[in-house]
Amino acid sequence: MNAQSPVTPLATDIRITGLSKYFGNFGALLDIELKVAPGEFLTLLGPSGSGKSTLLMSIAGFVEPSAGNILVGGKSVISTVPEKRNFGVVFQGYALFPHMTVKDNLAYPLKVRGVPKAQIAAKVQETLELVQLSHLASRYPKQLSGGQQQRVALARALVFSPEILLLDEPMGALDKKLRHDLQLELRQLHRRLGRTFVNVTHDQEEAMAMSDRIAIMNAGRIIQVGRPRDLYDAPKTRFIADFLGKSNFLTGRVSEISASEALIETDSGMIRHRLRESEGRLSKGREVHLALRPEQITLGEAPNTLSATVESAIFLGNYAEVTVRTERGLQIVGQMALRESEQLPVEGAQIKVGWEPSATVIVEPD
Amino acid sequence: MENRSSLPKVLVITIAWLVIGFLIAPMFVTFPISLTSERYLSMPDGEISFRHYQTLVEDSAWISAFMDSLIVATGTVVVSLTIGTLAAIGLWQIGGRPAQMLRILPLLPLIVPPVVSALALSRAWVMLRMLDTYPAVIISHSILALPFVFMTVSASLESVDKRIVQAARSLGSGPFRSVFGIVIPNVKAGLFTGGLFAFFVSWDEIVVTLFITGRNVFTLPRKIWSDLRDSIDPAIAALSSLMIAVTIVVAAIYLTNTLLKQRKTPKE
Ligand SMILES: Nc1ncnc2c1ncn2[C@@H]1O[C@H](COP(=O)(O)OP(=O)(O)O)[C@@H](O)[C@H]1O
Ligand SMILES: [Mg+2]
Repeated sequence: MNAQSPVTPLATDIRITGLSKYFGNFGALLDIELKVAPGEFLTLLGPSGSGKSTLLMSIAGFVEPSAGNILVGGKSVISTVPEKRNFGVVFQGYALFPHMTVKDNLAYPLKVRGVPKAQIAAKVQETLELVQLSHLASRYPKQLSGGQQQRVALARALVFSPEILLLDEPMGALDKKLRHDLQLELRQLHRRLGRTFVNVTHDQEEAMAMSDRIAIMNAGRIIQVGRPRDLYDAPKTRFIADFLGKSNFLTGRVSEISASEALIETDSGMIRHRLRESEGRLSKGREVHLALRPEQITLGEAPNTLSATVESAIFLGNYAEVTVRTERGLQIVGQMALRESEQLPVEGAQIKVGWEPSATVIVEPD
Repeated sequence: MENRSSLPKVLVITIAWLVIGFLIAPMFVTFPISLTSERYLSMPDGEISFRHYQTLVEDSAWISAFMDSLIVATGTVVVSLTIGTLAAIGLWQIGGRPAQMLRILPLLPLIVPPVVSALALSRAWVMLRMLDTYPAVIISHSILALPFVFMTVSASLESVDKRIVQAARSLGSGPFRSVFGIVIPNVKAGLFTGGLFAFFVSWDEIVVTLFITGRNVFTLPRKIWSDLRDSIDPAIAALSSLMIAVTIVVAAIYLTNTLLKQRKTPKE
């Protein structure tokens, strides 16, 4: 029993190869390749309908893939029924058993496994303490708040010490403030348990806050996998640059290449772009798409400068958001901290905005 | 403003009372007739007698008809509840458009006129050489009761999260145990109501029963039917009064129970 206690680190890796799922002719998952390291917190992030739940439920065993394989700890689980996979699952909407108290909900997986009664009680108590719910043990799910229900679902998925925890939009039904607190809690829980977590969300902030790595999904494919910071700094495609945070986009042709920089000719003028390793080699004349983060924009002269008219300037407390439009019709949104002496630009005013050559990233068009 | 809203209200209440009066008026005739001391249908003439109630309890034909009805109705509850519940749970789990289309199937017996069902069923039982047997009557009544069970259980399921079945399986229980251990306890109310409906569908079914029974299976409605044809016996009024009384008692118990339960709804 002690060896199975939820505070013992226990972790397994997951490897998904060539996984596809078709509903009729519709490809919900297309050739998915994904590795999740033992003890890692990985989040599947993507817009609604991108296939996140389908992928998670394939791992859980509720969706039968059309092709491909899922290996857990090196062994294929593709033909294992869900009840034998032994993964904890937190379902969208929690799926607590309404006719059972919190205690009985937690006891269920242990009862099913034939654990002796005395041990069940101890284990349930221990897990309830882990999620700080001991005082609500005799309540029914409908007597709990959304956040409490979420923690019951979490506890129920952990009580039988699964090596892998799968979470489908665990914060989906909660309000923003609560979400933030629970994100931190879940993150700490993951650290303490040391188990492999696969989380699903469409909320990029949540993904960034909690995950070791994020796999970005769109239209049934995984487009990029990486640490939150890497994805934010070097998004591979235009979709990611816009989905993970916000971006401005510029399109142009490579006109000159030096060792470290490229000159790119756009409608609004020449732009200096610092070359990155991840971008591979550029050739002269090639069309490129550049993403530019709003917080990289500064007011006034910079290595790259555009003259533009202020469309709107909004003060948002910790920063200001300034939207400008160039003569050529290109819209640029900038976010900047204002020093005390600084004034917000006036709408309609002619100003200069700029950025460093290192601020732009070449992204693939979608 | 007040007039505009209160006039229709008065109208609605009046109509409601008229309908209620229309529904319960027969009781005011049936009950007195059952107390007559004569051997034919008549209002008691100063003298009140319980002889017709006595007939009901003593006459073996009435008792055996009652037992037949009880057997058939109980069988109908078991069969229609089993099939109706499984169908409801199955379609609930499938969900989406295919389920919506299939949903019509269990409701079909409701749309088909009873005479048509009766004809079809009697033909079928003749062919299977099962006419006038308990299984045949039970199965026939179950078909008629199926829509009611299906509807009440489906309605109960509507407020249950479909994912609890998957949740149960992710927690280690097989598909069978997940459905019976987790889903059924959450639709108890629907099962109870559906079962009650099924029982009464069978209890007062006459059209189909007439076509598929003879001497062997002789339910209460069947007995009433044949008695009414050759003699007009006040025992029938006594029986009707009894059934009404039982219904009122059952309904009262059911209502107080639900009211009590509502009052007991868990506090925060
Ligand atoms: N059982 C199903 N039958 C048909 N289409 C489905 C089914 N499940 C999911 N889909 C479709 O697959 C796509 C991906 O769904 P899902 O994985 O639930 O997306 P997400 O969780 O990212 O919002 C959606 O377009 C959805 O309509
Ligand atoms: Mg989803």
